[in-house]
Amino acid sequence: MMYELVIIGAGISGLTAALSAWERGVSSVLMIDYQKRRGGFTLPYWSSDEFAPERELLEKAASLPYEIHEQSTVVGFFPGANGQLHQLYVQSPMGTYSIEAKKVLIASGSLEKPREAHKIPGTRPAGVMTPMMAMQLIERGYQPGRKIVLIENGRISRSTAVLLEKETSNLVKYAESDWELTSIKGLSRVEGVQLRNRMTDEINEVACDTLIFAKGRVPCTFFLKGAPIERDQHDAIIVDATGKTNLPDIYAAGSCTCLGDDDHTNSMELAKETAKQLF
Amino acid sequence: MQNHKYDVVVIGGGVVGTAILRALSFYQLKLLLIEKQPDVCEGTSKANSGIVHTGFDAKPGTVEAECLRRSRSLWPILVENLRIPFIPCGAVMVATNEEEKQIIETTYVPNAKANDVDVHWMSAEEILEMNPAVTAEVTGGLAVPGEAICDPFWATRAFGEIAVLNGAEVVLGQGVSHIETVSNGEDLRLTLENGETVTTRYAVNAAGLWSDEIARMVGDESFSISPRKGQFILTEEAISISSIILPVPTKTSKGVLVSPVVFGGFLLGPTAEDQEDKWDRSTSQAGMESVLAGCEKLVPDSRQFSTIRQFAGVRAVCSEGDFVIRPSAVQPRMIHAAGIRSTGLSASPGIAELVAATLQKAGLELQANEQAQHALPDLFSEEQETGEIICLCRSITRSEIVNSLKRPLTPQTIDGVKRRTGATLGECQGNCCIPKIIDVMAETYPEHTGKQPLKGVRNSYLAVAQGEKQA
Ligand SMILES: Cc1cc2nc3c(=O)[nH]c(=O)nc-3n(C[C@H](O)[C@H](O)[C@H](O)COP(=O)(O)OP(=O)(O)OC[C@H]3O[C@@H](n4cnc5c(N)ncnc54)[C@H](O)[C@@H]3O)c2cc1C
Repeated sequence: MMYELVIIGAGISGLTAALSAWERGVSSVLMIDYQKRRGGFTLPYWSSDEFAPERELLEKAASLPYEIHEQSTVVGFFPGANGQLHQLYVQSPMGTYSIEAKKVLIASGSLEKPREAHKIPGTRPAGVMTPMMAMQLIERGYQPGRKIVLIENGRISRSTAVLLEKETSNLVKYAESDWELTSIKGLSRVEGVQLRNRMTDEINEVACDTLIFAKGRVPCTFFLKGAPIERDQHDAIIVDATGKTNLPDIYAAGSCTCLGDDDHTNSMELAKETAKQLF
Repeated sequence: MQNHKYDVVVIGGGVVGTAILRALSFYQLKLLLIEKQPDVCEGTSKANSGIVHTGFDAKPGTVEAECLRRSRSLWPILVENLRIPFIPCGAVMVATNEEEKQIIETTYVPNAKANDVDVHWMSAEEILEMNPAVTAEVTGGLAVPGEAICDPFWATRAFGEIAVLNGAEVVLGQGVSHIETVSNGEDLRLTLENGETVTTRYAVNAAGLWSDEIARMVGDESFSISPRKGQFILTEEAISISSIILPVPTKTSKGVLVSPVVFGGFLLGPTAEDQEDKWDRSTSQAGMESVLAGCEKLVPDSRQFSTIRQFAGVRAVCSEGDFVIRPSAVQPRMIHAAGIRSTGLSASPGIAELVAATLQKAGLELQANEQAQHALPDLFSEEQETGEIICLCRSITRSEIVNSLKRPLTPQTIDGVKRRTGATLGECQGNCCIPKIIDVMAETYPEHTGKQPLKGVRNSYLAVAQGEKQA
């Protein structure tokens, strides 16, 4: 299988770039995504108002004629030297296959950084989760918790709160800007959290059975381990303002790059800019 | 389970209990292991440094030194038969001044000799060549080439699995709550928390931190166990060390170490904090600080390392100061394998041998089981295709998860799947893939669907109630 362009990731950036490629008349495009549906990791939050532009994007993208391989994950990436084709290895429900591409756009997004990355002291019970886990549990018919503490620090956590408030009345929000999460308690399931007021140093012990917290992002560049595509110390792909990586015909856009942001707010913009360079 | 009488019931499914079950499964015996938690290796055996110690620093003449000595020759066979991830990386005890060098020469060299463990002095240049990240202040050190690292969970699970293949039974998620003597003192009757009873000729007490409570159930007050916590920091930074880097212990503390981990990455720690609560596995700011302060002296950049996870384990410190491996004086049909404090992973194969010999002395006939298997087959599922990726951070496929669910010791928790596959161990710590693993578990065992999925220990419900499916 050979394509003009392979887009890794069908999230905000990938779909934006795909639409732009279609507008420019490029026909040989393949999209590959780890998830079962297009939309990317932020899809669960899109029913919130703050994701209205993304919802619109998804509607437009529904008419895209491009092939899209879902539940398919790139596990190996071998850039072609001197204008040769790039080779990608993809893991899918049918097994592993390889594809070749003239150009590759990496738009693989990012995951939410959990409490462990921030050395939050305390125990490690069930019930400590990021918004992404909470939303996935709800999707499966589970309730994440009965008394939830949510740390608000951006549009993802704000949207999660809006959606959770529909499910439960027992949600307490703390703004990250005012409160620092200082400890987690509970043996098997969360029993409470401790928060410190950044201004007054007041310590607040809150009883709860669930903590929803994430801060920062984990760029999904796991498949680039060992590949010659340059990444920064946070594993984000190093790109210039036009999405160029250090290698020819390999581009990257969105929250998997060093220019992306934790809340995926500038992903569309970055992808549009990058798409202009592609063709 | 309750219909027949067992020859031996092992109480506790840590590395010690499963090693004993394995050793006994090579004889014609009716065996049962009872573990309180939903999986094996949920106690101290899951949270330790993962080092297979030689015993170079063990006190000569102790039961501990003897078990470590026996284990040294057993590990290579176990690693091969059970394919335990194992790296013979060696250790260096690093001296940074003349005083520490003196301590090594006067204490550790003769001690290693008494235990018959090979050690030699290493120059600062040699140490730095192999471990460039070590402090430039190093003046030399003691090399212990026989020290190694392994996956403690793999070892525990594999010990249990080979025993199950050889006919042993395992009950998970039920603790022993009561023990009485029956049949005129010939048998023991164990009552489980759910009220079921089990009759056995012998019981082995391998309940780790709780082994004193099991001893009390037969009226034995001869030893008690107190908890001592050790906190760790796990990092995936590429630290330029190839061996386990040990400090020279002081009078009050063994100190913290920096060690490679078999799956990649490095461990910094552990602390040694006496506490009251056997269950307290929390980490603290102070603990993290003391780990970093200690490691910094060995590897100066320690403070700069990003961390993927922190955790704590709790040692079983025994009032007797040594391993307690003997029949109970009150009830000789109970054999203790208790007080296994800091080297239980390394010593487990030797402990198992010693327990088997103790049981034999106590009257148990050990007839070899000619059919017994020694090596663990690799595959337990017929899955042909690898399937899609479930754990994105670690590239773990659906079939790897399904495979783990079809092994002789079936995981019932997310942590069980995690330890068998490596899934959820990456940067996102499972927040992306845990729900997908729940799906695979439900598809593989539809009879479990609707049950609350557990994270790890009892009652660690991942979601509190099953609500309505959202539109
Ligand atoms: C910080 C730290 C670092 C360490 N580093 C190393 C190292 O590098 N190398 C090394 O060799 N050792 C190390 N150790 C020591 C090693 O981890 C222990 O010695 C070993 O795990 C003890 O195993 P165990 O089976 O006795 O205990 P456990 O693993 O605790 O198993 C006991 C089991 O008994 C079960 N149980 C309790 N009560 C009941 C009941 N009533 N009924 C049924 N089941 C019950 C528990 O649930 C538990 O699973 C370290 C320990 C710590 C804490």
